[in-house]
Amino acid sequence: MKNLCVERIFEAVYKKLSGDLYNFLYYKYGNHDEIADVVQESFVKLWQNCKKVLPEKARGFLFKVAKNQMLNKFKHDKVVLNYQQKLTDKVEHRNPEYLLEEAQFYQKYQQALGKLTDEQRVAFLLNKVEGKKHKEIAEMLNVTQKVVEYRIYSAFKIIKKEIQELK
Amino acid sequence: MDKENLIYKWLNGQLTGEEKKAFEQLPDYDLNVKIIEGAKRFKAPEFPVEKKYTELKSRLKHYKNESQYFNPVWLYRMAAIFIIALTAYFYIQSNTVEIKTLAFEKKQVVLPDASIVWLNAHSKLTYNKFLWHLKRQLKMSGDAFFKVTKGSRFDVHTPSGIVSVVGTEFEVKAGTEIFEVRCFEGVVKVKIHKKTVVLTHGEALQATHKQIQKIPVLQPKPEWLDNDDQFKSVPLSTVLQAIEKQYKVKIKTQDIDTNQLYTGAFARHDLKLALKALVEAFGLTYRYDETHKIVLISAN
Repeated sequence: MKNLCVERIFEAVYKKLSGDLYNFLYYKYGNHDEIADVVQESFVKLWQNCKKVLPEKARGFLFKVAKNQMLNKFKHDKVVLNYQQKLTDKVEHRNPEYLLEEAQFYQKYQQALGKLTDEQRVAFLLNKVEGKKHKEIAEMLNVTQKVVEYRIYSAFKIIKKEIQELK
Repeated sequence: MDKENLIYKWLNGQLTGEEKKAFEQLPDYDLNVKIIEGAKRFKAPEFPVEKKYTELKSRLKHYKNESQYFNPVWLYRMAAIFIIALTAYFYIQSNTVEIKTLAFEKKQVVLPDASIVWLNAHSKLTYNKFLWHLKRQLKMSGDAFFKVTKGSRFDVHTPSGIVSVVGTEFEVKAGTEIFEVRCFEGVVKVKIHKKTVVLTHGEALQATHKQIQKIPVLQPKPEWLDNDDQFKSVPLSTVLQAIEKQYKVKIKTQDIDTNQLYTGAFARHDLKLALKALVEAFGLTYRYDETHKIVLISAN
């Protein structure tokens, strides 16, 4: 019997979906310590409702529960995503002028991401950072692939515009 | 193809070979690439799936997951219930008390509620110490005198009928031929032959297979408590049965009417004396074969 109440199946669903759920929440709401907790809470809810939720409906259930929990946990205001202050290994890039330019670039980038709508940001980052296919994103967000494509494009346009203002 | 269209197709991986070349010729090509490459720096922290699942697993145990189609836990629960039930059954059974008296033997039994039973010879009494506190009932056959402590209903089950009381003193004789209940104090209810007879103090009931009759009780206590046996208008056969029981002998009769009624007692420690008193009352004679323990009673 394929059922979420069977621990083996529940575990498989967890391993398949927990990362996606975490990434989705992170890109939608920004950097918050509570996100990992919300992921866990959502799976607890899934376990409690394991009889009612079919395995193929688990994704939709988890995303819905997680969004409701985020709403209850804190006010969804300004989204801030952290970035890695990575130094390149090329010697000539260590000159202060270049470093300053780099810092400005990513600060602007960070602000731009904050200005995107949740939908744009999630689609853009899931695709470009996590390498998720359009089809996967469309399923996750419950929209068509065309919508995903357009959101990625809109996000890119806004980011580019923000960064170009710098120059 | 316009620039925006190229960017759209590039972003979504739809550029053809020619379009790709055109896109690479765009003046802001480097910036476009840098934006896409730069996005990777905003990658979400890694979610440690294995570690997080271990954490979650220990939490899930606290939630009842009642909707399992098959859960071995139920099997253990059922087994546990079965074992508990079995243990309880054996515990209750182990609390069964049986008291028997042999010929010439009398015993005094104190029940858990402090009621007292005097058992006459050749009698048996069974009750359960544990269940006694729920319901006062016992099984009894033979001859017994009860002094019942006041309380809930007290039932004496005999092969002939049920005697119920609340708090009283009474005697039950549940032999083979004759069933007798004598009430010395209080009220006794007797269920026999599908009838209920109520006895108040000083009343007795005698029942054979055919008839039930009420008779008065003259003594304050059963005679055998003072060591002799008293009969009132009972057939000779019943008296002989009582002697057989008391002395463990076999009594045979020859050419005599054993339905004659007898009133009186018989000695309880001397067979010869008991027999002598009986035969003299009816004008009979007896012979006693001591080796085979057989008594022959015949006409004079």
